[in-house]
Amino acid sequence: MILARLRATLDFLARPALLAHAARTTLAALLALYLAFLLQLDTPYSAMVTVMIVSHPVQGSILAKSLWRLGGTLLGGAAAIVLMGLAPQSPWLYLAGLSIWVGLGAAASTLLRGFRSYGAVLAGYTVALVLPFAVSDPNSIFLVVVHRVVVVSLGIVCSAFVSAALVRPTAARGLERLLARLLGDLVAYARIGLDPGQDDRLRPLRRALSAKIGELETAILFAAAEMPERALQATALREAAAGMFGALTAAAALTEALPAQGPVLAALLDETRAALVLAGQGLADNDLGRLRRAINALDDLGVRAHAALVAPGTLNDSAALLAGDRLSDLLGELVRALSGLDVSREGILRNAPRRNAIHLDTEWAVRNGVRGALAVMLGGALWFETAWPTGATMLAGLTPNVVLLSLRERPSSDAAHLLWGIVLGALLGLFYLLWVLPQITDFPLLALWLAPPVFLAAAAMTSPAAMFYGIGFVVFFITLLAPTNPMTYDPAFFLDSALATLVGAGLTVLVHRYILPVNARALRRHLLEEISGDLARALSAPEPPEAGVWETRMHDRMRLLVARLRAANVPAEITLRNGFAALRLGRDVLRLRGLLAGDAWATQRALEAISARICGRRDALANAALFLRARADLPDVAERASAMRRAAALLPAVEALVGSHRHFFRQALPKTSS
Amino acid sequence: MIREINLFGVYAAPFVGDYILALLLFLPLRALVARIGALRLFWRPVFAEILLFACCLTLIAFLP
Repeated sequence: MILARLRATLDFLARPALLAHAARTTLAALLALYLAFLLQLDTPYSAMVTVMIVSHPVQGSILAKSLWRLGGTLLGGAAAIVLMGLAPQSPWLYLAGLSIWVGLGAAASTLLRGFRSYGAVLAGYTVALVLPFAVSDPNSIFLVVVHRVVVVSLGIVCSAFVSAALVRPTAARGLERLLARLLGDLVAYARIGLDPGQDDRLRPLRRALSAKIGELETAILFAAAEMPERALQATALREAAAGMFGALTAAAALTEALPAQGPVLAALLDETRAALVLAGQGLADNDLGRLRRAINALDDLGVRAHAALVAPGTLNDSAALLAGDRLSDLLGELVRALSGLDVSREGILRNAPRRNAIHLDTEWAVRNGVRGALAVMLGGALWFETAWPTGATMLAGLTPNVVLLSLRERPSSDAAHLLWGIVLGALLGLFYLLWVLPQITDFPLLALWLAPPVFLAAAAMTSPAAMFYGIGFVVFFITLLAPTNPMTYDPAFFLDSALATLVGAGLTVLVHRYILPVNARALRRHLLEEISGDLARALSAPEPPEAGVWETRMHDRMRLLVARLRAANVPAEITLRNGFAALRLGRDVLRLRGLLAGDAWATQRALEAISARICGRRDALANAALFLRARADLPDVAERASAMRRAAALLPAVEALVGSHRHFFRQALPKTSS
Repeated sequence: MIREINLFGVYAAPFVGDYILALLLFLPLRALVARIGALRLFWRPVFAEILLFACCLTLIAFLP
């Protein structure tokens, strides 16, 4: 059992690509240390720690993270100077300011995405990191901050240089490959959706695809950092990702609508099938010409499907109206999604892209902010009350650990890994301090001795199972050993600092376990509540939310939900089905509101009918459909008659959807059911 | 004559000013080079960018 776990944790050692990455990171770290010695910086080892923290196998990630690390350090450094200037003689006031600043950083980092989030959290805890160096002489704070910025910059330059020289810029190609694979899968998925009653086949594919669309966001981020021209396309690529999500829902809606047949619809479906086959071949053979022909064909088909919807022959056949509507929706989304590959290769923009809305979890942000602030107050109080000489070191360990782990799914177990990593780092550090370093006379020998632990940790940090052991080990091994030139040997100071760091890490575990603990299940429930809240807004807000914004925010929430369910490794089927059902109902509601825009009475009637159906009135939607059809026959709404008939045709689909997820919707929309 | 830059009482080397000016010159230039797709012609686009910045900095630093 233990052996099996150890083998799983050390799995990274058997992967050559990761070992090459570890070798590069080691090289960059030692280069940073050498240059820091050469420039006679105060804390040369901090440059090495920076290299370790920004290290990543993909070059784009290093560049993006480095930039935000520099920005966060600058902002945090400025805050450190201001705070120290405001409260040089009143430690409690200083502590209060520090805890508020750290709390704000933690809260902001929860609301931000990607490396921006890292920048925010770093700006918060940098103030605590410089504290041990300035606490005995507050007047030196400016120089301490300048040194900190310089060593961080040096670390960034070294890791960027080594990765630029030794790694090909692979993120752009990786993004293209991921996009092509995703689109291939999406085309196959859409082809299944063209046949009636395929929802059972679509469901597992949908789940896999939505997880992969989540990965696309990271790939876009890395590619944008590697090549500025990719950054110009990032918004367009995110639009394509929104199109993919749209197609996932649209195909599911189409397959349910489909038993309807008619010569026009059958022809459209056949041609769509042919265009999708063409697109699939284009994607498989990497033939851009064929893909573009397929996109144009799908675009034309979309126009024709739309024309068929308003043709007099179709207007009286509600099944055909519904199927046509669904098909036109799917075609539009497919064109949006497939254009993404075009954008990524040729920079072609079909329409001006818009920014995608994202999920903002303010409740989680407030919890993280308050927890960060409380942890700082707690650590600071412990330090002041015990008059602990190395209390600042403890606080400098506690603060980053608490706020960085706040963003994880299971912070208390990660904190325990970190603690064990630090124990290992401290033990090895002591060995190095007492037996290794005294025998070292020059840099090559020092590099030779530092390389093995750094190499191992760099490899471990790439594996999710061993990541926090690696980080705790290497960051604190280097910081505690603190190689300087000339080296100072002070085992007592080492032991004091090691004890302070370990107490900081131990407190981190306690904080995450007892102060506003993160409950993965509650986070997921909250996400689902937000999804329901969005649905309620789409249904009952006096002004309908903008469809694009509403949908992309919903996609983002679904993406997070999928990611969290995967991270927690819990059965996700029912939650995801409900989430997608909410997405589909929301789309239908917004579509209804769009079709009935300008007719307040009809809109109110249709929305009330949906609410009533959710509450259990079975005939509500059928009555509303009859009402809409009758109203479409009235001469005074003649110009809106076709839209009204399409709206009426949507209602049976809403009926089927609500019927199959009755319990979820009734829970999700308690206000409408009361 | 070399003059230090006074930032609210903190004296910074004149090079800092050159650096910031070079950055202001470099950023639009980089966006332009990226837009016309010239970066793709290089073996290591990052190095090309660094050298472009070095050219900007040299230009600013050696301007009379």
